[in-house]
Amino acid sequence: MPDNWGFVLAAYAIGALVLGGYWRRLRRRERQARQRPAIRRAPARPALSTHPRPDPGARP
Amino acid sequence: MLGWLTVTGLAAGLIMGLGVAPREVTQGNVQRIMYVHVPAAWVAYLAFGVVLVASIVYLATRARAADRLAHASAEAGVVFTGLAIVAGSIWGKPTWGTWWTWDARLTTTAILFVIYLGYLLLRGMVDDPDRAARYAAVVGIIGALDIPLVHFSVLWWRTLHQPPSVGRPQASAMDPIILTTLLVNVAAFTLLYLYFVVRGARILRRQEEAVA
Amino acid sequence: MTHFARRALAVLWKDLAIERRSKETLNALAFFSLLLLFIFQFSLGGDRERLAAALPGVLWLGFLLSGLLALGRSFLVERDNDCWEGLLLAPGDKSAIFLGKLAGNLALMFTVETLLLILFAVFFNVELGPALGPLVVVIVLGTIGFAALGTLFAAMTAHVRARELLFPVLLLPVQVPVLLATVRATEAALAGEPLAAVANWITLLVVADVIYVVAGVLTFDAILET
Repeated sequence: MPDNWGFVLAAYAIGALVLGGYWRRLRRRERQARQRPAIRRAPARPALSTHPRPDPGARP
Repeated sequence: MLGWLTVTGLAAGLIMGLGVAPREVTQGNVQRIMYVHVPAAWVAYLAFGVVLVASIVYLATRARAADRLAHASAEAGVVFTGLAIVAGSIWGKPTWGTWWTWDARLTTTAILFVIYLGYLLLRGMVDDPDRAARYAAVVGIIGALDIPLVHFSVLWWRTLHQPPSVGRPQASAMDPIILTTLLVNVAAFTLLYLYFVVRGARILRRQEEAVA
Repeated sequence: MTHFARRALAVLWKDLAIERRSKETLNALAFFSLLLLFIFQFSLGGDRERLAAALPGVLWLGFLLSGLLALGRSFLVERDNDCWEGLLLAPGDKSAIFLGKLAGNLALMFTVETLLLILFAVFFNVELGPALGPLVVVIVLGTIGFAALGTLFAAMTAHVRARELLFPVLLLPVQVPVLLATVRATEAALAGEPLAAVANWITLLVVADVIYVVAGVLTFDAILET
């Protein structure tokens, strides 16, 4: 029976691509998840500091 | 730490699979694809077992950690199932002559793949996170309960696939080195699965905290 | 009669009453069945023998397609008429609602299936006579399994966007065992064999039915929560 190394390497390569690809996806999502809380907090601060007159709604 | 353990395991599995293990007598080197296909399939079943348990725990306790575990495990499970199918198909081409046959094991794995793809699709389409968790848990449980039914029905419908060589009562006619290589790869893939699940669950928790 | 049974029957009665007054679902499904017949004939019909060999599968395809339409709509009445909260707020065991809905769906499915069976017998010249007993058993068992999960998933997808897409996507893969079993058993029945010849498939159907109905009863509460 012929050795078919091509098929073997194809299978291993696809394995590496799929598993590696999923790993990269997880890494990307982790980075996004870490950035999001920072983005939400940032706009709040400038609004308070640059507002000239007291906003009746800002301080309960 | 889990990461490094995983990398070591995978490296060992790779070396053994491609180098150390001998050329199989009947199939030739194509048999080496089994070192990818079998561990992937094993992890797939493990992943969906975890989905079943985590889903039951979630419905019973409403612990968010259980829901995150189920979600992460289902995602990893779909990845490994897909890989198992593709690797099996690549193995099948030189061995059986075709890319796909409707034989028992391939078909069952394909159905598993579609069931859990539906699970992920459902999660993506339900906006309310609490509802998504509950619905997904129900689908996760029913999907898992269905697996033995699928297995037997497809098996009785078709029987072409080789009988499973690991875990059979009679002594396997397998070379011990091949068996060891197989087990090393199974362990490596399991570690990789655990790594994916831990990381995935952690990401989900961070996403939940960001929205809260 | 226990509270539980009374609630289930109340749901069943409500659905039957609604259907009896408007008949819209039943009429549409009956018409759909007739159309299916034509489509099967056009796509498969040239070779008489080939069609005869494929008949059990084609029959269950007909049941499946009609069933997907019928079951997918199980909870639309509640959703469209703002009765959903009524379902949620009803005190006591929500599983009774599941069983009531299931019974209603079974009544609908059996009606459509009877119609389809008659149409098949007439248009495709199938000898039903001796096979009728075993055939009915197989159809009943298969439909219970189909409707149990169908009712459950219909409740789940009633409020999801792209419901028409998600419902079959979720239901069809888990139905594979039931489909395989019913087609094989129908094949045997139409060939004149006794049910004992396909005892393994019948057992699978019974086991599947039990699992699906019990799972539905146990998890319906979780689906209906606010």
